[in-house]
Amino acid sequence: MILILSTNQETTTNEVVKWLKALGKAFIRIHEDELFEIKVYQNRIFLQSQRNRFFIEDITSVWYRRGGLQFMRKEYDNPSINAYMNETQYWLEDYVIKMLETKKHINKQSNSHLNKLLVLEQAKKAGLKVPEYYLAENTDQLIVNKTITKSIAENIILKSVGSFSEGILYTSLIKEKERENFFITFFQEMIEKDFEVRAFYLHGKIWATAIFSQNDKKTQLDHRKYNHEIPNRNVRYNLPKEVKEKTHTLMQQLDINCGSIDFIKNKNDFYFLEINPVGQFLGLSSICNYLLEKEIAEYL
Amino acid sequence: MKKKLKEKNKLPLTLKYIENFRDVSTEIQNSHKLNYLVSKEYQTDFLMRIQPTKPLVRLL
Repeated sequence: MILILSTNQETTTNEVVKWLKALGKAFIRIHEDELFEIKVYQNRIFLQSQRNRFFIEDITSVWYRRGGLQFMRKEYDNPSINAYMNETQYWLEDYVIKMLETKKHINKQSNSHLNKLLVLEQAKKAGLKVPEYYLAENTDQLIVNKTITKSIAENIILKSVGSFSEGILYTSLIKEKERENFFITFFQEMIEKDFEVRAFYLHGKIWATAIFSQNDKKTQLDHRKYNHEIPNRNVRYNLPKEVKEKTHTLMQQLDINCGSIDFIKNKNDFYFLEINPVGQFLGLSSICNYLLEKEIAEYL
Repeated sequence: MKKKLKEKNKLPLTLKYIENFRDVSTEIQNSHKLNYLVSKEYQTDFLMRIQPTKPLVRLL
């Protein structure tokens, strides 16, 4: 039995489910709002929520897509009993999560969120080229029109901020210096790009797409600022063996076996930008006929 | 830093460059009901009703 940890409204999961059904593979899908109770029946641990009930030992593989297992915790009146029971329940939950992660899996709940700054450090150690970056509270050392800023946080869509009902933090070029100091901000050298490469990594294999976003002013800095009228041209692309090997090393160091990885191609160099373990890949999979949803279903 | 967002503490410069992502119109809010189905088989209430079209050239 395959266990899918995802969210209810997640299109990629639906597409993988389609393939699981075609391949005749049984699965259990867990949503973000499910609360599980850990129970034991004849010495066998099972999890039970409002929607699902399954034995841990019946799970053969796990796909961590989004969300995650959440548990119901019992509370106790006596504060020290409560603290003790809290810890007991924590270890039981940890045991369940780690037991599931020992099975065949695609990504893990316990390391699904990446620290972008540490990933860049690791990427350099793995031998990948990384544009120069630094953190700063002012623009004193900054080179205007040659430096970009982007979010340190994963979540870049903010609801009800300023005049926007939904605002987004794209990668932006710094066009002027600031007089005042600000909160610690991530800055990076802007690399002139021949084109962008978005790669999908699964267990040592890489499927890449070249995104010709450099000729459109709208998508020049961030291809996610889609031009729906004249979309960027996207084609299958083969990354050099050396870049593939270094990416594989990086993924192994980070203990992630699936994710979307962004590169910039500049002359003969490939600059590593970032990894998104839970990124969207359906669009590129469809355009390049990669059938990545099938690859995932087959791997599980 | 031209203040688009008023906060008592300082914000990263990245937030100065915040852009509009989309307007939450009733159409978007209701698209969930219009374009998606509840599916027991797929264990979701978000199964897309219509498949997006794929240009023939991409099928080659």
